[in-house]
Amino acid sequence: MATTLTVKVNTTSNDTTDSGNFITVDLANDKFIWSDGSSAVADGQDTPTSAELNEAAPLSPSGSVYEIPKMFLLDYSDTGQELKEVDLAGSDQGGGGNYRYVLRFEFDAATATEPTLEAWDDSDHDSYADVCLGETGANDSYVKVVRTTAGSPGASWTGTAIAGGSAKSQMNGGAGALVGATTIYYNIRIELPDGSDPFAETPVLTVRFTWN
Amino acid sequence: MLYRIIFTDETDFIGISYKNTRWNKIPDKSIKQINFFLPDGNIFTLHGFEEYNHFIEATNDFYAGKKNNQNVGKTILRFQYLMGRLGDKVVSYRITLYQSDTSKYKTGDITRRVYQFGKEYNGKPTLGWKKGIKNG
Repeated sequence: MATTLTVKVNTTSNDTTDSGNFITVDLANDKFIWSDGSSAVADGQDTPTSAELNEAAPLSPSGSVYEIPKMFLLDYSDTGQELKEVDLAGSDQGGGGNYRYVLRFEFDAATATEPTLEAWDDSDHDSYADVCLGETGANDSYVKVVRTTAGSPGASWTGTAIAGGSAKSQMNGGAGALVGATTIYYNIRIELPDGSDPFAETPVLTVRFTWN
Repeated sequence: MLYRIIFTDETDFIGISYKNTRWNKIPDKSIKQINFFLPDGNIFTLHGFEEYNHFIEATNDFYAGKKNNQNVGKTILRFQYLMGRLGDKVVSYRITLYQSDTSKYKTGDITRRVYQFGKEYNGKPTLGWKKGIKNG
């Protein structure tokens, strides 16, 4: 049968694999939001308006890079309190640190090739022109990920920039296809470069995998 | 039906669908020929290879999409790969299963490429090879 993937996110401050720490992401309806946060864009709040998101948006940095300090899961099904802060996301340059168990990818069976974690403008997977994806320079993507299945990333982890088909993360650490059911962990952050153009964008994160 | 394998002993084996390929249930016998049933109704035949492989490439997208978010949350079947190995060369046939408004390839398009064995998918090896028979 086809291999299937379940994506979960840790919305607690417990950096452990306990299943109770994780919420299954409804890939059709839930979203991730990166923000400076505010009273309206905070853990336990309802879905923010565009105006509220704009008010809580980080300013384009001048003179240094800036890691957006807060990541939220917009949990579509938890009506009235949809926003859940992903406390452990990012490095210590933002709101995170030396944390392993943030994003959890559960493959229920083997794959024919090594799965990859990617970022694209949209589901067409034919461009990464968004500002946050580096526009045309894939390695300039603001979206950085680190695979943490085998160990902690270090408090000031930098991660791998992902955008398009050339800048992607090998989800088995380069060890090849998954030989059976496998759970893989990642941490993620968005770092704005000095002088970043303003943007409000909604790219897609993509897991690409195969089965025989 | 996804494919029909004919073994050297003239018995056969059937693959059902993209999500139930049964590839890993193929008996440990030498393959003489594989007929793949393509999305456009045509049949594509591979024979004469020392080994064969077949797999489906899919994606799961998340974090919403501004242009085509109807696909976010779905497992999209992107490509079907049929491969045959002769010596250290792999002939790869990639069949497009998903076509967007801006796709370079249309559903059913076949892209043929030749790779070094062990670098047949994005420069990396694949699992699932089944034995055939050279010049079978």
